Amino acid sequence: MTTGKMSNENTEEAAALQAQIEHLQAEVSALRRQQKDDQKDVTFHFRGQMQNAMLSLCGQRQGDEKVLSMLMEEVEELEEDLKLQTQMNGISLTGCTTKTLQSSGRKLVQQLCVSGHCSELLFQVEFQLSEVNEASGCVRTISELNVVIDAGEMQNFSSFLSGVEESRDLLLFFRTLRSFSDRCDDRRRTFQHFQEKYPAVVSLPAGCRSEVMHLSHPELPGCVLLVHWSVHVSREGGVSPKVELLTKIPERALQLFPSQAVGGAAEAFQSLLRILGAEAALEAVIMAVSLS
Amino acid sequence: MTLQPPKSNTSATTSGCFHLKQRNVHYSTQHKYSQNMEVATTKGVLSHLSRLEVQKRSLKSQPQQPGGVKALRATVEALLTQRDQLRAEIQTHKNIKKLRVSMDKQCTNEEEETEEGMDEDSENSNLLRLMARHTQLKDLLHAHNVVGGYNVVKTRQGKGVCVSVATFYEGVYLNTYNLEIDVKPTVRISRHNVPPFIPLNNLAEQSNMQTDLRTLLDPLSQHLNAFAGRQQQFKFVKELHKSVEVMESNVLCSLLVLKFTVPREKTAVLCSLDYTDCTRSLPTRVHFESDGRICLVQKFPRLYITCHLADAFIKRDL
Repeated sequence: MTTGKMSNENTEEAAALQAQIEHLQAEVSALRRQQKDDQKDVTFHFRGQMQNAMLSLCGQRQGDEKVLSMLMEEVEELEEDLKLQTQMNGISLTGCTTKTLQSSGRKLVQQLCVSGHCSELLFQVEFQLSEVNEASGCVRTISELNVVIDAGEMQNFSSFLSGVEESRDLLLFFRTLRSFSDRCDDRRRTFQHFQEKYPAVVSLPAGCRSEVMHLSHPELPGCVLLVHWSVHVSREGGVSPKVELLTKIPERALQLFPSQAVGGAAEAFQSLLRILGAEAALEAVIMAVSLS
Repeated sequence: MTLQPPKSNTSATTSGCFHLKQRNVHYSTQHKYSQNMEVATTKGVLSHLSRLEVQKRSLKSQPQQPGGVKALRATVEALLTQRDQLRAEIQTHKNIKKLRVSMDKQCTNEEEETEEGMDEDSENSNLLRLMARHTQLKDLLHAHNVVGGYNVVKTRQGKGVCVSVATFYEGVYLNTYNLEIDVKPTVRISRHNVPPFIPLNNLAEQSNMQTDLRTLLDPLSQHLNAFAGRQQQFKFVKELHKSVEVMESNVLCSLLVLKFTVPREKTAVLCSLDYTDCTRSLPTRVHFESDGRICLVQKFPRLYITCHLADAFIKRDL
């Protein structure tokens, strides 16, 4: 009878299989722990179409073509959404990296680094974002804010930036940046408009994004009126444009024309500015310079 | 300063767009949900295995049945599949993360576009690339929300939009105010939960909202944030100074009269703060009065500093 021998082999095999099971169980537990760790980073915790795509790549789902097209659809929706947010918010975000520092049931702490540009002004902000689930709802806070902007504009912004980092006012930073960018755009449009309309009189030696516009009559190259249009940012985040008229007229010319009209041009311009506003006041000055 | 918990994001009095998907994702709550899912599947395998364990122990005294071995073999197969699946998922995860890092670098022009030698076939690498882009887009959209974006959502097949204005003070996100705006035939605010003492209609009239909605939203945000800042300061002043009594204040938080009493001194100081500029959270005028002495100052940074100054005033240092 072979039953006895068979049962011995079975016992051996069973023991071997049991050992293998225990070994595999340990492996699987370790892998699950690792996966849980990987998914602590919220960005890489996949749901919906992303989860389907993941399973398809790992051989568990059939119908790969469908998975690709459905994910493609979702990605296109996200691209559209991003365009919409960019347009409405007036800022272009080009990069956002997140690092999850702490992730428990009730609390999530992430380190974010966001970079982008507002019109042509580049920025990069880094901060910690905490989300805590309390009885009254989800409380979000920011800490350790660090802001860096385009080196060229640092001077203008330095007192504002130190204030914003101190008060951790991330949102004020962006509101102010946008406001500043809008006022700079106003200036650029106005300068470009006048250069196109009065090319003989108006010149922009430092480009249309500069703060200075030169006005001079072609037959009097030595006499120049400088329009200095600066955009000032206060520590509180108040953005205020300041337009000034400066004259660069040789002594001899001033002697020939002693009237206040030339010498007192700067002050007269300020009055004109108050009454007509920047564009109209500038146009009036240009008309005067072109002697038409 | 203590954290001030915000009021709920949506108001019970308005509906419509407030039911739409919130981009302001509460990551921690969604994270918790899927953790529970994982626990459920793990329990399934583990309970099966423990049943086998019990079975094995009860059969130890008897000769092994072939059926027992068969069951064990099946368990091993199941575990092998599970292990391989997990390994594949973890590897894919790694690949996506790697792709994402190189995509981030491309966006900031740090690196030229290079092909990361992936040993997947081209269809798989397309899918991976798409997945990495998906994570990038989600992060960018999250960032738009976090930095105080207007969270614009198109509604009614493009006939309307919903926007929300976030308020923030001293590192804490406070209330969000929502507006439902008709876009066709003209741009018009249809519903909102902006408090009545904020001059929304004036701002709308003064803006260029027909062509650029931001000309309304930016000033509105300024007003709301200044109000939120004043409101927070008013709430905190009591906690900072036990001897403070609020004599007068208004809903707009543009006027505050405080009474500081110093028991030892048996004197009281009346402090009036005017916030005449509603776009600012700092006072335009601060006025101390006590025992016939008056002190008028022009500006102060934050309200709690005013409280310190009140102390100084009482002690005749000011």
